[in-house]
Amino acid sequence: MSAAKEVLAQAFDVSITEVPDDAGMETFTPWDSLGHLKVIAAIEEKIGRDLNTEEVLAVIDLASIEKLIAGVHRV
Amino acid sequence: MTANARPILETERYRLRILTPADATPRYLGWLNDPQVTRYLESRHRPNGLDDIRAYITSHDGHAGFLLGIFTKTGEHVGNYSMRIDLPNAVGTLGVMIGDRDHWGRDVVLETRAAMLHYAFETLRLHKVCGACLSTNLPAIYNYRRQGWAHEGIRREQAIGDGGSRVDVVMFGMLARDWRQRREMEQEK
Repeated sequence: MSAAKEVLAQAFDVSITEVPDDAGMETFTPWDSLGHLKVIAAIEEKIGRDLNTEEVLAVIDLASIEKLIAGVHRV
Repeated sequence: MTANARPILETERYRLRILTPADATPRYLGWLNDPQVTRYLESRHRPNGLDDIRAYITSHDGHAGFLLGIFTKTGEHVGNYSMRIDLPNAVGTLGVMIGDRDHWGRDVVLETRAAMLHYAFETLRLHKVCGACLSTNLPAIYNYRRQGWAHEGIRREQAIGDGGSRVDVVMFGMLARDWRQRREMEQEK
């Protein structure tokens, strides 16, 4: 889950140790509606391409980010 | 289906009430002429003046259509909800605009839309409420996902977005039973 944690740490400019194992929309305080812009941008930077609509919809927590980075969600 | 045609909905920080033509103010008009506010709204395609706003307000009859303003507790108008209802099928379609950019990023939609859904399901007795947004409207997608709306489909290249590019429209839905189940789970936490 470290790659996904790196994404959230970069998005919110915090240390990776400050990203909890259960980080998600509902549990990670910095991840609000405007913060979501930063999350999507950080994922796109990490994987080197824009996310398509289905991929954007999949982003809700660390596990979903990890799958995107691993290419599992790619449509 | 019965409803108070002039509902007033209270949340922790906001009050929602039916708009009247008197609410067509220069402040409201300013939102519709702010490209950042209208970037993801259908109103970006229309000319907007005070008369247009009054006509829009009165197009909601309080039966098959409700237009509620979002006000702070001190009476500052910050945005609107429009609900159009398919009466035979008891399905509503809900749209939202937060016009006052000072209130962006403050969970206004999460807080106030919960009140709208409660009104839709428990007072209007709707079976379902639908919503939609451009695929590029990431804050809106966040709010739908965070609030537990079901993602019901993608209308490919349905709209024209920034710079004239074609963008998808994402469809969401909330059933009354799903909303009640979610509220019960939240109360048990």
